[in-house]
Amino acid sequence: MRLDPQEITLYEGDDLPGFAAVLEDNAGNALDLTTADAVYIQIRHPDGAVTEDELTITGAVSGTVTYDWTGVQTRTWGAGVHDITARAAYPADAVIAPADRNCRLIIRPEIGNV
Amino acid sequence: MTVGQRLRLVQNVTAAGANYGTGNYGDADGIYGERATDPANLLNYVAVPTTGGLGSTPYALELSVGDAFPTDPGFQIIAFGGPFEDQEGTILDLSTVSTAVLRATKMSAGPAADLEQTLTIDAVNDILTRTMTTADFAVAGIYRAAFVIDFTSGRRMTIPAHAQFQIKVTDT
Repeated sequence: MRLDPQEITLYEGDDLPGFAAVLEDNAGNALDLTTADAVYIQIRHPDGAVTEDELTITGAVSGTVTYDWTGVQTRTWGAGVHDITARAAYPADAVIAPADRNCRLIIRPEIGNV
Repeated sequence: MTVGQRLRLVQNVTAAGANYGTGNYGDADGIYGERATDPANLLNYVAVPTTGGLGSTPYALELSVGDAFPTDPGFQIIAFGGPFEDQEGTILDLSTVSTAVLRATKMSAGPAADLEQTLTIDAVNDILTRTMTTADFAVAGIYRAAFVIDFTSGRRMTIPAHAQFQIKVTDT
């Protein structure tokens, strides 16, 4: 079974696996976040609502960002397919990735509500 | 060639918010991927029965109602950094696991049944075990099951997330 590497699958209530990603262009050149004001994660839920929060820049030159979603969040967002984008905000403009919207968070319904 | 932006998921990056390394990603002398301390920083995890007569597919555990055998089925959690067929896999270090339970929901016809069983953590051998009792599986059917792992950090992960893990309980 080959897994799409741009998908993260977890269950409602899970904190892990977490989110870690590199913003880059199609040629693999990392986006330099050194001068970015901030980078935000935007999670579009199946009902159309959008959650936006600030990402942690763990590697400014390497374009690496992380986000610790919580079990409360994944339970609130609920089971379904959630689209993920990242928006790097610069003083004069912004960069949004991925352009093809192929990054997803898949939340499965919790097992055994006992 | 059209140039666009992409968001590439990466692993072995600790998600604790601390600064990570000093090398640039892809640098020959970079230290990316070598300093992660989060024990659950990979994307794909599966539960594999240890030896002792346990099956693997299509059911990880197959027994009859009232069985208490195998007496202590064990499971290892194997982590993969990418597609399963490309990876050898790494056994999850259970020393940072505080609690582990097996949760199951009956999928087949008949009365609904959910169960939750506390597992014993063998952090030396990195195996999760269950001392079975005759009351563990009292309702026959096919169950969708998963291991719910709570780490000492307070974070939770359910395994396996991708591959369904099933238990078959046969009526006597």
